[in-house]
Amino acid sequence: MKRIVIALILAALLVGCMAFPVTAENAEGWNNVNAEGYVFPDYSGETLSLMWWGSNTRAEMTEKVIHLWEEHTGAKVEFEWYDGGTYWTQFQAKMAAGTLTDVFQMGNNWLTYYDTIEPLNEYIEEGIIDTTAIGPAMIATTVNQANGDVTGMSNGTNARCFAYNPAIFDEAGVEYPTATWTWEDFAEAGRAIHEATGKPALTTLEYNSVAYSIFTQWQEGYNFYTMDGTGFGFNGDTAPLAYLFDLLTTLQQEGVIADYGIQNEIGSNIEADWIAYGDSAIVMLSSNQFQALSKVAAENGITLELATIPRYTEDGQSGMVVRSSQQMSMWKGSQKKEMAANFINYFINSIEANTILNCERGVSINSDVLAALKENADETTSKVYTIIDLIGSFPDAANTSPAEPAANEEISDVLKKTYFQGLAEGKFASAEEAAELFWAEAQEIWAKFEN
Amino acid sequence: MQATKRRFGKSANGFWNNDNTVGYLFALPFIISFSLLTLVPMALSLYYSFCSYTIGASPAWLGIENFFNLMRDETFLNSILVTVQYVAIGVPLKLVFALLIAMLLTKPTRAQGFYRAVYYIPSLIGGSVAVALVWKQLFGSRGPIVGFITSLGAENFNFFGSTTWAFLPLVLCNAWQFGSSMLIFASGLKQIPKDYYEAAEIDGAHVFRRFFSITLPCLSPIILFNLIMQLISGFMTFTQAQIITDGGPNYATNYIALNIFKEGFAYQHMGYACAQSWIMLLIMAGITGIIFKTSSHWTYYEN
Repeated sequence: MKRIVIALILAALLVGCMAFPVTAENAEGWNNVNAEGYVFPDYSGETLSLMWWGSNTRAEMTEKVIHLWEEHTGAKVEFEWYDGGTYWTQFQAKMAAGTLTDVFQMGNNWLTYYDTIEPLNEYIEEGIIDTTAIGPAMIATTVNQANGDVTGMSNGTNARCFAYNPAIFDEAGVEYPTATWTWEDFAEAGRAIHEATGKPALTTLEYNSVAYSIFTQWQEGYNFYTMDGTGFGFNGDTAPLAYLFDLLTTLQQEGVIADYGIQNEIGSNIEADWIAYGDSAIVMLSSNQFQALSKVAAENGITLELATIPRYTEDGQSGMVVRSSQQMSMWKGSQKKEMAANFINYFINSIEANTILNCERGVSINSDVLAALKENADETTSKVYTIIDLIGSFPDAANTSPAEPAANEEISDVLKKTYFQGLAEGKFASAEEAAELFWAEAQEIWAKFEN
Repeated sequence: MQATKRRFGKSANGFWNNDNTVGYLFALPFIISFSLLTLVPMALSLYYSFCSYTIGASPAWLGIENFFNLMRDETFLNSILVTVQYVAIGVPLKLVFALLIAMLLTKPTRAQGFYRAVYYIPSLIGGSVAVALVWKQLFGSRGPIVGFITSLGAENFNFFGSTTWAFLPLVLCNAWQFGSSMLIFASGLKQIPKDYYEAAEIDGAHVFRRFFSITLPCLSPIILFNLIMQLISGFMTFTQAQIITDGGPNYATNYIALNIFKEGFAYQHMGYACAQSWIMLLIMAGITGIIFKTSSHWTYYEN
């Protein structure tokens, strides 16, 4: 720490750059990587380890940024990356063996891995992680509300939304989705598209996510999980779920929504989605996946647009929320915490780095970075900014719970595999029965995690 | 060289020349790795199976609660059922394939070595993720096989979207890796004395008669060996189900190893997962035991 300050002062003197004086009043901003004449700490001969999940596109961008940081600091970064599914297996194996990487990408499921995460509060207070251009609301997206621990720095914000191919909508003579389109509108459009093309209209749907949304959309005050994630927030009313079970299962049996085999084949590999090849018209995704998807679609001459998730009623709540997409967290057992903090600082705050990363992990939480990126944004990225701004402007976005409690992994898996897929296989007498049974099982699962 | 050896022999005491010492010494690398990598983890997993345990946390003793819960866990019971189905269809299919190809390859031709190598290649690359991905493409909804079936008139057919058919590509992928069984069969076939066949031929026995009366009985110990090895590997099938179907749709291919993995790693119930793996061990041991017990009735040893 002292070494860095001295190095910075020396550098300031040598270059004669007055833009970066280390004075008392802006001590907070001393580690601003975007400042003119910023001198990177010297980590020659040291190594830092890092792991993340994501697409090929993400890996290419991240590697470029890693090489830049290596050039700046002389450090060597050992990195590994996996697809979203494999990542957590690797993570747990490393966690059990006590060999996690110094810095790792972490999702909103951080509560599950809480013991492995070093709170960043100290590093933010000392200014190693510079937060002068990050608003408190943005930092709050990764804070444990129970004790104020900063569990990581958000890589950016995103929202779950739909992407669609306007050319196919035109072909079927269907109107484009509006900001307040409903599930009924969606069903109508989907049926028309399926009839016109003979192919499924929708190929990827996050079942747990839309099922949670429908509760918020159903009635003001409802949420699947409460805002703080300490329980369920819908008074055991299973009507919303029964509505969605019925609608989606019917659409799937009609061929409007691709069957579970096709959806599983695509899996978390968004670049393989049929929409990129002109074989479907709508997919559900996280807004930050839009760039990777658009890149493949563009190779096939397809331009995609973003839309909101359908609502229950046009004038009801949206059930959508802008949240931290994922974050960079520090391993509690790391031997190189200061270096790790410096890496996170560069990764989150550097304009140079984020120009390469291009908000593919989410819309940057650093206002300087975002301003710089918006200036030169390409068309695809602009669409992501627009949808995030739109969703952020919905008055009810603040009422939508972003919580992912520890039991969520199992509850959401059971919801999809036992209930959605079981209903499609005719294992339940009705959508209402499936919804009732799910509610009973969800409470049972929740109880397992209480102990 | 001679001199050193003699000097070493003289200076070394009886302990180092003892056969047992030398034996244990040479076995030591195995003993150490077996203890550390198999015995200790097994003992731990037995302990965890009686606990509520999450990776990273300390286990809390539950007694037999995990096993009690398992008996009324529909997903788990279903996973046993589909695994038994998979094994019952997959293992015989694989052994028949292996024996068939092995018999074709016993005809001495110049290309014999080449063909054996070719048929063994799938086993070398068999269990890998890459092969699973290839099969996913091959049998996928946009793959050539579904394309062919659709061209025959089936509408919206898709292996992995159907609870009835999703298992088939997985079984075929397993059967395709028949190489190691094939090599064992091939060496077994070579051991059968030629004069049995010559005598049978002179007596006028046709091909099928020779196969059922000479080949099969003489080969029965080898069949027993292959059967047990394949049963065990069949029960442990994991990679293909995880990569290709993720256990779906609606748990149709949720094989027991995959279910254990999900419980332990995705849902964080490691103790419960350990209990499942012990049940799986008991089932495998039971089936293997039954086969061993009955084998005296259907295997034939010449000496």
